[in-house]
Amino acid sequence: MEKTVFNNRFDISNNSILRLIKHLFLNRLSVVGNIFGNPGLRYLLVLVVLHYFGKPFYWMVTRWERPIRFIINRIKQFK
Amino acid sequence: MTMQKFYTLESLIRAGRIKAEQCETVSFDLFDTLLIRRIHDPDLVKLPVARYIASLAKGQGISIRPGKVQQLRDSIENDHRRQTAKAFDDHEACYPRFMSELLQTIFSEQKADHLLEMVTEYELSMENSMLVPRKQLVDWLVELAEAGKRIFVVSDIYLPAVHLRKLIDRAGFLDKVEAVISSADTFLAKASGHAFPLIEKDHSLDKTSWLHIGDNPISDGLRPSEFGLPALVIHDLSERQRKSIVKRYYNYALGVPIWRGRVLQQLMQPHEGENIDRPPLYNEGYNFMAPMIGGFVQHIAEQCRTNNITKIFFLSREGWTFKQFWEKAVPLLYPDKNLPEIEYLYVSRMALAGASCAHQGLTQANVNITFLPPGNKDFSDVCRIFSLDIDSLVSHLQRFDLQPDTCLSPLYEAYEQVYSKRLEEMLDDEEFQKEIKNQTAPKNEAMCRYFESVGFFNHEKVAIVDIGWLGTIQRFLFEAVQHRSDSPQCFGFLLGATRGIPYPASEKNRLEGVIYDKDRFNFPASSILYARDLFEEACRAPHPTLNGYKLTDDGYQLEFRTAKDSFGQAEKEQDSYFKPLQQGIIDAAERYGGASSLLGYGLEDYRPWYSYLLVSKMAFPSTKEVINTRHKHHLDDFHGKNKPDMPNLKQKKQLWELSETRLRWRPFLRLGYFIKHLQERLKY
Repeated sequence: MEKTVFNNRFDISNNSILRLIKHLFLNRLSVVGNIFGNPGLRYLLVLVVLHYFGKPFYWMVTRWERPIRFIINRIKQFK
Repeated sequence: MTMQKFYTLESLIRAGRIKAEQCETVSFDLFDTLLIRRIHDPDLVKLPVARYIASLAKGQGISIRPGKVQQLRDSIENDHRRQTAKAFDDHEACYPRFMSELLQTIFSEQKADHLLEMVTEYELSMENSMLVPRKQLVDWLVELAEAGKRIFVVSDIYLPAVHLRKLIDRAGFLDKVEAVISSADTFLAKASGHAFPLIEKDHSLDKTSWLHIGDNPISDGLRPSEFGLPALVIHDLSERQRKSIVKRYYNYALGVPIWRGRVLQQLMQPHEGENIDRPPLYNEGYNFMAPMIGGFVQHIAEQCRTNNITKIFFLSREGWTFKQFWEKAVPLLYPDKNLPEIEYLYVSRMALAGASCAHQGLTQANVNITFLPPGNKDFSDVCRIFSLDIDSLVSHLQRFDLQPDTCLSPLYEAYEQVYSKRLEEMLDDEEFQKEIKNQTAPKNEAMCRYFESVGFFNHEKVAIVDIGWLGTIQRFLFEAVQHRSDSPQCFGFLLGATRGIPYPASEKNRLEGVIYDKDRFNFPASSILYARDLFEEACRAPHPTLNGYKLTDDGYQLEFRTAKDSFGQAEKEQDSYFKPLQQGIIDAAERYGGASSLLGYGLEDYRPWYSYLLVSKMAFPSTKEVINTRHKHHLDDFHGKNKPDMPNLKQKKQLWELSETRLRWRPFLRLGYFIKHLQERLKY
């Protein structure tokens, strides 16, 4: 079946971020050890959220940019 | 007038169509409206330009870091903006002016003018490589132009209109645009709103029938509204998501090596009209093979620059794809043009094997190579590979109690060690070697004439590029030319070097496996060995293999294998099956050049990601990937047609040879093969 090279989640066709995560688990579980470096769990989580939940997230952020910006600024002040 | 904000292109175009009915003139913003960038931050395009200027300076004996060039550029540009702000409301700068000053600061005044042209050309080519026309919006622009509307493109940027016209021309809609207006020419920008009265006056426009479209709520929304124009502003959600993803890949790559290859691939991806439905093989070529070949080609270019190699010979037939990739990717990677010449060289193991015997005779090492493939059994196979006439050699064989069909391979039951001993004695015999040299001399002479015609002997250092695996082509090639005083120093580069037989490396004849080399332990890269034939078939040129070089009265003749027999037809069928895969590789080449040049990374940076790609795609492929990507036919003239009868040689099928059912329904199949592969790599 024909597919686009770059999918609508802005991820690579046939080599999505989930495939990378699957291989990382395999790396850790199998005897072969860590063979291609550690991409970082936090980075992976952020990217999964952006690729898979980015559309609703940015819809929300763009529609309610001002109140969200206000909340973020307040959180920053609080920190 | 008020501006209207839209969150998708579709809704903007819908509303725009209604508004445009009453308008004679439609003006568009350029960047992030008609053209989008692959990268999140437009300033990143300046970094390769800084590297280019630093390399130009290095060529003239001036030592300056790219970082320092960038710093200087920023400070000069800011000075220009401050100067402009004294006379105008907009803090604008003009590229030719500040770039000229930058070049004058680094180089002398006389050289700056000439260099400005080169630097501008490179900056525009980098911009071009990162820009993509927005299909829906451009289609609508064309529709408006064809309906008789006057179309203007207005941009607040440091590039003057003449440069913007080049970018629009490449995007393919310059002929639909009446004028391109840049704030760099007049210092009257959209940001202050001064651009609109100027355009109205210069082009005698009626502002009551003028529609403006852009992405900036101030410059493209508020200001035109204040001037009295209806304005439509796009606030694209999907663009925000896309840029946010690229930004993270880019930032993560700065600290974590595995993301460097991933950000490269993100920047290589096609967008908008480029991103259409493709066959699965095209996707594999684009997303798996192309980055790998890109890293290979970039490494070769770097090695050539380091070692002052002046010519690269891409060996047939896989070199055909490497050469095409080089031609598209390397000009963007190395704009200083300090690159070797390139040439596609028609060679094959069979064509060079004979020619290699003309001066050194038939060596034991070369006979051993013959018996590496299990299908080769006796001396007739040696004659087939080295293009020898067996009838003239029978008397020599008989002198050593051998026959043409005496089994010389230990993989067959008929083999006896004494036969190898007799063969060794025959190889030491002067009469036998004289006959070998006589038979192969014309082939060597024809080969040398061909090599002379392509300038092989005109260089002191040459690179020889092939796919792999033992380096036999380079071995035979060097043996065939080493007798000449003008033979060059050969630097061999293989995609993968398995080194099944030790390579006779010397100062004049080196060999390196770039993606995988058995001499450098790199376990994940060894996954390439799962399906070597796949790489060969994917890169192979669409012409038959070379059988040999024939000496003619006026020079030489290249003799190709016939394409009419069953093998030739099978190859043709395979070529047409893999055509989308090759197309994917070639289409990705230019984008690899642009992306890698922007990132400033090299093969070593991409290696961790390539390791992941190889393990993921070769050792743990999905069933669909194996079924779609594995080759149907693979011709290898070097292998004989005999079948070894040693029971331990009945090899287990490789992962990529298994049936769809086994691949789909055995969950631990790939893991089992992977552990076995690991054991083998550790053993040998």
